[in-house]
Amino acid sequence: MDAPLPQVDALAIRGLKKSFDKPVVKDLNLQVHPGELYALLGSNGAGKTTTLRMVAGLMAPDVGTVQIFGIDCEKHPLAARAVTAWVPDEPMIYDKLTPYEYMALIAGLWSVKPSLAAQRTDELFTILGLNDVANQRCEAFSRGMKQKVALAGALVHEPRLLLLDEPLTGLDAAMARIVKDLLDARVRGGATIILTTHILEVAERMASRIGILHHGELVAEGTFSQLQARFGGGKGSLEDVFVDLVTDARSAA
Amino acid sequence: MTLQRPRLVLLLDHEFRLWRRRFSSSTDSKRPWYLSRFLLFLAVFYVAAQAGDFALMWSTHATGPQPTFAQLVGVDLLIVAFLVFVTITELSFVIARAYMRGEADLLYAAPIPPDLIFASRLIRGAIGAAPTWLLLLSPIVNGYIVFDGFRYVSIYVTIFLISGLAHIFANLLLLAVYQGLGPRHTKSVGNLMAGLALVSFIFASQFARFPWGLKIIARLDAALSAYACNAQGWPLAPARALLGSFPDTFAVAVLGIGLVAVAVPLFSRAYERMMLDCGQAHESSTRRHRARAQLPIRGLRLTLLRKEFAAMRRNPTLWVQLLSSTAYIIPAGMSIGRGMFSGDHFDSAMLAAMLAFMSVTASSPVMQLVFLNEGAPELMATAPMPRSFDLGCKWQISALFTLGFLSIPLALVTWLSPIAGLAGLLFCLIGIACHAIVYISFVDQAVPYRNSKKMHLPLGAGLLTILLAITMGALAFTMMRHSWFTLAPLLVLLATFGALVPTSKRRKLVLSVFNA
Repeated sequence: MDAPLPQVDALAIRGLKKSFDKPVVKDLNLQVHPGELYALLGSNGAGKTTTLRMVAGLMAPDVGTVQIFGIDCEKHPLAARAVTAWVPDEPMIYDKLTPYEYMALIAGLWSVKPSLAAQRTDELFTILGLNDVANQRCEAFSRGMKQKVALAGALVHEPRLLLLDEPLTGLDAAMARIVKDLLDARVRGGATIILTTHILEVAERMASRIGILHHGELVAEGTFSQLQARFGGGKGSLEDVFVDLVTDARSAA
Repeated sequence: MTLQRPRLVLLLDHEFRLWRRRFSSSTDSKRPWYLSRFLLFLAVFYVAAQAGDFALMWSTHATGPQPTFAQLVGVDLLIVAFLVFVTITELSFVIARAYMRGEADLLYAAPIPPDLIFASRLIRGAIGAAPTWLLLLSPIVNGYIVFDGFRYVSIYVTIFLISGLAHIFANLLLLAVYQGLGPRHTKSVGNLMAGLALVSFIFASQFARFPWGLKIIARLDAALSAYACNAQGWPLAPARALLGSFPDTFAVAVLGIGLVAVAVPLFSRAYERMMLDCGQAHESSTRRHRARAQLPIRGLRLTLLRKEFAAMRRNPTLWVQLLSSTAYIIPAGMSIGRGMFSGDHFDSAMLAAMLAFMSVTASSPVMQLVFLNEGAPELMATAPMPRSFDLGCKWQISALFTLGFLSIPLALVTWLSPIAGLAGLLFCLIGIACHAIVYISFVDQAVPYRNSKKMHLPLGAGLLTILLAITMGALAFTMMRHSWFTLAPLLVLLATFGALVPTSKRRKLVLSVFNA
């Protein structure tokens, strides 16, 4: 009988540091396991987006390494990007393209076969309710519509690691529910998702594990029940835990 | 079975699709008359320009001998001037693209070598830079082809290649600025460079008009003649290409392709860093601007004026744009001055009309900021004050600021002729008012429940069009009287050329090549 293959982390961050005028990410260590939905929480300016940008290969860290499924992002950036998708908080959608054209562009960039891309596009557009506007240019779209197109673009090449920065911003309640279900389905299908959000109920309900960043440092990490037990006295919502943690960290500073 | 396209082809297709669609909107298909009217206007304008040029060339045409060495040097200098001018205009385009929000994130998060992205940008930009110039210059080039032979078709190829080279130079120039100053200052310094270069360029075009300018240029002239010792040297290849030599056209093409081949592997990593950093810097700056837009409104005129002044003071790009706009005013003011000194009052009055058009150009960046500052229309629309009060304040501040910038050329004109100065001031006020009407309609579009675009936009645009027509007509008429080039956009180029080739003998020689 073959020995089981060692489990490779979907994301392994070691000793990550980044400074602009002041340190933004301080010696961050983080492991995310395959098939997890990991919620990265923090106040404004805590370093969440900077961390995700470094993982996506859009920013070089000052110190430290990032590995995606064992691939070193610095040494093999293209291989790492091939299995990753990144959706920023204000996604870039070309105003002059239609959603169909946008999807074809993204599929082409990730080398998805056109026939497969068309099939996946149809599926995603049906789920996200974009069929009616699929041939209209994006310039008149609302922020929520653009968010949906960006999300569909991120999913069209079926990434193994999905990085989402505030994915529910601009979506109405019904669409937010659909997106959450879609992300749940991807996680059940084996994809790994790392998302940042200020809607703590989403993290509480959806995330396998939660990490809380404060001033560039990971001050707490675990499942919701673990965080509740350690910082909330075994009760209270994630919001209570988060506020207590951040207040404590501020007063300690 | 469908085949995947190579990713360079995919990127090029993407770039060209964006380029084709940049001036059209999704609503155009619902109003085809809009596009057809524009095309009709363009066609009429073009045919008129072509007919005028043919008429001029027909009356003055005389086939000369082969171009002399002096002519080649002159034409080479003209090409260098053209290259510099197009590089300046392309620099603004390259800056805008570098600071486009989020685009770099999208492309560089994909598993594509940065070389491909850089190459596709260079190729698209190099090809995209040419059509405007080809269209603007084609009436003249057609004249040469008709009157002097088919070999002059090489002028088209040369213009195309020079425009492409200019785009590549603009990219490299911006990369150099970024490497030296970082992402925060690249935009303002790049724009400042473009503005200053344009001012210098236009000011230099008037250099030969000064008495001491002639002596200096005569020395420069002698130095250039000594430097380029024969008409076969490679520095003169662009000139020979422009004058119908196909081997030299080929050489210039090889130079362009070679430059792309060298630049792509050398600079693609630096370009990636620049695009990502500049995109991020734009994001931070946009957030800062939004925060500034949320200033408290107390309903006082002074508060509003102070707010607008504060927003303008903190916007370095505005100052750069104003500087660029003022560049156009310098030759206009000097032309008016020349007209007055020579006693040609008609020229002065006509060129005062041109000043009005310049006022529109100068007020554009001010109004862009004052009327359409991000989030401001919505904020003002919800504030407890009459709409007319808010818009009135905006109009006043725009007029004050623009007139402040125009005060120097206006003072010059008034000093030379009080009547021309008064006319210039009146034209400026009309120009600013027409422009404000257009911007008010934009504000109305930004706040849909106060939609009155049906009234304002055609009115403002119509008034501006009439003003533009008067200005262009005046300019064309003045040029025709002096037997200058027939196309207004060539004024700057021609004036620069005039400065570089100042002596009447040389000017006559080189103009004989261009103007028969």
